[in-house]
Amino acid sequence: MNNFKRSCIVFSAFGLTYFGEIAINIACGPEPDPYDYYVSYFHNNVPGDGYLPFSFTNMSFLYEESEPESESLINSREWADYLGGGVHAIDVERVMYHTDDATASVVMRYLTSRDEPLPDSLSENTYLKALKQNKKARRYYLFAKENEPYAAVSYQGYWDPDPRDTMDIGNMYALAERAEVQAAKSRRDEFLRIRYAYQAARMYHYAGWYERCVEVYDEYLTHARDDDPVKGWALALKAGAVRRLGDPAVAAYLFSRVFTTTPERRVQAYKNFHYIDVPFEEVLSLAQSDGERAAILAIRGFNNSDFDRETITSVYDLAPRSPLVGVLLTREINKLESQLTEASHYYNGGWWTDYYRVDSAQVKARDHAAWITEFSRKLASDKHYTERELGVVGEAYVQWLLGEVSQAEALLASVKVGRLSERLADQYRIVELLIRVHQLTVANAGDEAAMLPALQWLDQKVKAEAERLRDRYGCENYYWKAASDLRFNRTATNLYQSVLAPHYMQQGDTAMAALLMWKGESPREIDHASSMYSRLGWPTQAFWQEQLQPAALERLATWGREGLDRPWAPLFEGQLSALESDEFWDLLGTAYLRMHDYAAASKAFAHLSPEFTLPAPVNWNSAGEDTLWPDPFVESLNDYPKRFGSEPLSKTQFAEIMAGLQQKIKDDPQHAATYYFQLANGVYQTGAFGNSWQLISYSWTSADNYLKGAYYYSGDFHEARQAAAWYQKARELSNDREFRAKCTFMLAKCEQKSYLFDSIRDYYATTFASQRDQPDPFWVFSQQNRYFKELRDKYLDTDFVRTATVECTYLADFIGSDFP
Amino acid sequence: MHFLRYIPVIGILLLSLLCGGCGRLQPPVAASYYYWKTVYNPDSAEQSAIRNVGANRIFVRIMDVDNQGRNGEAIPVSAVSFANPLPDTLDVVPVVYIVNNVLKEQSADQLEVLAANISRFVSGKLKQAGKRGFDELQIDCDWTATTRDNYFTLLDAIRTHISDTVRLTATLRLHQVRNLRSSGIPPADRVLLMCYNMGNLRQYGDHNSILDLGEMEVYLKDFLSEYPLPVDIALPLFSWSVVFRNHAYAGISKRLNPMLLSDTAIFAPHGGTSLYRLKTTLPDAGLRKGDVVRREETRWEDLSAAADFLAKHKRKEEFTLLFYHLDSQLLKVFSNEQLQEIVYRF
Repeated sequence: MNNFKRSCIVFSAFGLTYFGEIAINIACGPEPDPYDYYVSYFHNNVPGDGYLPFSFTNMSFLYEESEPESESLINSREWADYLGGGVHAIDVERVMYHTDDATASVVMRYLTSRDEPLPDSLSENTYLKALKQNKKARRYYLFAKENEPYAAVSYQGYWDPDPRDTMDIGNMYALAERAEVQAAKSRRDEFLRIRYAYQAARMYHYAGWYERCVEVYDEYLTHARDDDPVKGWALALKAGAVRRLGDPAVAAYLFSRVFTTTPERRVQAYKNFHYIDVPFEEVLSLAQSDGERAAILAIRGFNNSDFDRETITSVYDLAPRSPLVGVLLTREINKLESQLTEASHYYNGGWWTDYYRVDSAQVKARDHAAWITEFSRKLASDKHYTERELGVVGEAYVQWLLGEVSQAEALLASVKVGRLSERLADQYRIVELLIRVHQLTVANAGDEAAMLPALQWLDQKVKAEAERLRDRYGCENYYWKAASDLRFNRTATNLYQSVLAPHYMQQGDTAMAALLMWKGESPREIDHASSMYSRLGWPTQAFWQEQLQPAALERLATWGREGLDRPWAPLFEGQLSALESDEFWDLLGTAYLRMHDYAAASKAFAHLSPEFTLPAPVNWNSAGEDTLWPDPFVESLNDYPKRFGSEPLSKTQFAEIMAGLQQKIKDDPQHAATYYFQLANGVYQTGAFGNSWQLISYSWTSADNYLKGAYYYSGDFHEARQAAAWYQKARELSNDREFRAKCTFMLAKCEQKSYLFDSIRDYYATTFASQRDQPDPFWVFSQQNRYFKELRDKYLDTDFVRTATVECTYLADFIGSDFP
Repeated sequence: MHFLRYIPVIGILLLSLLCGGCGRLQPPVAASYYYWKTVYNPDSAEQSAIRNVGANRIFVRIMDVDNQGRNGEAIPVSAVSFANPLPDTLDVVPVVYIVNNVLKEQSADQLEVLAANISRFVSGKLKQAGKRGFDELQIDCDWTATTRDNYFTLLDAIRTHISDTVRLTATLRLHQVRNLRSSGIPPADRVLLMCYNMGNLRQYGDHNSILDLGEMEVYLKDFLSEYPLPVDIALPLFSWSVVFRNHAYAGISKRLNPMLLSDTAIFAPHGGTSLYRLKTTLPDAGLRKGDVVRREETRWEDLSAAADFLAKHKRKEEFTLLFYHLDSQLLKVFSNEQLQEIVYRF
């Protein structure tokens, strides 16, 4: 599929809601982006990073797969602390987690021999130097390395002579026993003791001796500190062992403990909890405290993508201070967004839309929203939760979603933004910005200048976020790799493209709307190459090509030359300069063609460089992918099959020919009728049904044959209106009956073009109605065509009509004597 | 003095004693066994058999190579696993059995990859056996005229992946000793002549497909001594029951107790031959009434006759004598002395 077909923006009636109705997302494209399938302004990382993988998304099991914290960092820090004496955690991590086989054997030799030196790259490694001095730590290291091949099996494929399943299980038992012996001996050194115990438990677990695994945990690790990470890792092993020993409820309960205490294993514990098939109440009954109960309820709640009051209420009652409360509240707010932001439906705009945008779903969502506002109020006033202002800002946002903007404003005013944590403060500012936008767009009481600082703030956040992610992931494709993290970028895109641009369109300030579309373009669409379109990004490009009349384009050109004379000018600094390019002139010329101002079109095309060509449409179904050249002045009775030209014809040439014809009408009024007829043909063929649509449109779909369309050039592209006007003129100016018959015939065809629908769904509904024993609606429609009447009443005997009825068999039906 | 008169006689006596005592002055025969099971774990009988023939090496099958990969590619099949490392006194000679089909339609690059994989796999397995390396690698493959070139390319490739000190041995069947032109001479350091499975297993008849002196005469009599590479020998110790159904080969019955063959209530012998007809059904052994069993046995007489034949027609050089294969059941048939005797025949 080439880019022409990638997306379509449909701007339907504007004055409907203050969100505008824009389906920017692809109606018939690839799978939905789980991070961007609905319009969202409430960032899901406001309550913190600890439970980010469990943020709401209805499109995948987890929002993120990576654990909230890094196990390697945690372990390295622990070792650095234990060894003391200036050992750096980063050195530990390097040796423990990032050495290959060759380096590992070098390290081994260094540690086990007397005077084997380290290579330069490791000679300053504080961890290795500490190990050299510390006999017990060194012994543990060597022992752990012995365990490694059994613990860290990588299946290499058929040709691996050492896969674990043929390894000696007895060997693994032996290692586990040795580990236990060492654990027992290390009574004085708790740090090493529990680590040896962990190695034992792990070996037993992997060797399949689950009873011993549990026994080891119970003996050595039960009494370790709860916040000791090794205890958490060992507990996960015990939980898995218990599950295999046939006690699923206890296993699930233990996983819930790991979930709470061990962030570096949280996703693992969550997944395991959900793998286990056991009645929920059984697991809950094993909880020993309110906190534990809350965690178990939250684990269940995180897996629920429907509106959920029960979980958040229970968790708040049981553990009001827990971060789980904030995460659950954020999830509920995101769920509301996916239903209440009108433009949010992934399916919006397609013919199947009505199946999903049921009124009852809206009612349900508003009801839940009201409940959430009450809950948020309670959260704020109770002051149990660690950051009660989350309730205030959350409620303000939901009020904005419901349209209660003054309430939202009042709520924000009750909080001092300076006192908030950084993320909550950012969210506060976003809600504030949304309120101002609402005032601007709905109440028309806003002030562009006053909004500028907030927009600049957003801009700076967007740039900082992109830079941070580029640093982490590299410049290539960072927007794919970092998709889950591009929160401010998505906020900006949604704000500019879903809210601000439609508002300005509605005001008739199309040029401004065009700029705002560009401002909000997502970084993944933009390619900083030379061509104007690649710098605009695809959605903006489509907008510019479809919505900008010549006046708007001229205004953009002026802004490009002289600068933007509006309060928001600082937002566009540096962007407008290189607007005047070949693509721009082509677009301007095309816009004039659509307005039938051929002189102006020619003037615009005159700026084009000689080698400029747009990609021409090709016939995908032909073997050689033939180019489809326009042939606008062809005279044919049948529109189908379409007869494309065999030679190239550019827009410039078309403009010249049309202007020439108009000139001829002035110079040679005697033959004006012929010239009008040719003008009419020319413009008729620029319809979607013709062979020259590429002269006025950059894309074409078969749906364009049925849709009313909302382009300013729909008159030509969908309805043949101008063609009808010129055929009419031609007929008036001629006395030749044959010629008049021909004009009438063409007028009849033009009239037939108005069989159009608002949406494809309507078209299908109407068409299928005819299968229920009702007359074909197209037949009924055609009966209204006055030109068929005229043909029958006045021109039936002409040669033209007689030929036509033979070539166009429907014509015979439509002008038959029994036709009403 | 009269005792001086006897010096020449004593001298001759001594000489003849010495010569008689040494037997013929032969170069040494190194005897050993094939170990052909998937778990290396010899029991005491098997271990004593190894000691009994004075073996300091054992020939262990490491894996088969067959086209059983998910996409039909060649992979190791039934690789051996070592329950315990071997004692230091016993070395391992790894043996790799390659199914002939594997060699069909392989490019030089593919053969190179296969050689590398085989070499790496063998080394890995030897490590599990507690051995640092190996002195000899034996490749067992029944190559044909169509796969000959690829097989020889593979052998060359394998050689590049093993240490220079390692001997590369290829197995040989009887007909390949005689038909040098069509079979070719494998690019190996030595060959191992498999003196078993020489007859037509699947053909109905009362011949012995395991060991057949007639066959040996045809293929080896004038040709064994001419073979351009040094030749090792392998002799069988096994027996089996070959089943025929309606005169068509139906397989080898592993679950048939050979003692039953002498039970005339169950089997009707074909007088004087090795064939027995089943009078009833034996479901446990998977046999039906009317099936004919050919009992092929390796008896000590045949073994010693074969040994004598080979000793006579073989070049006089150092070689390895292998028994196929090491299994305590088979060892019950032959006593230690009998096996030692076979070795001494050479």
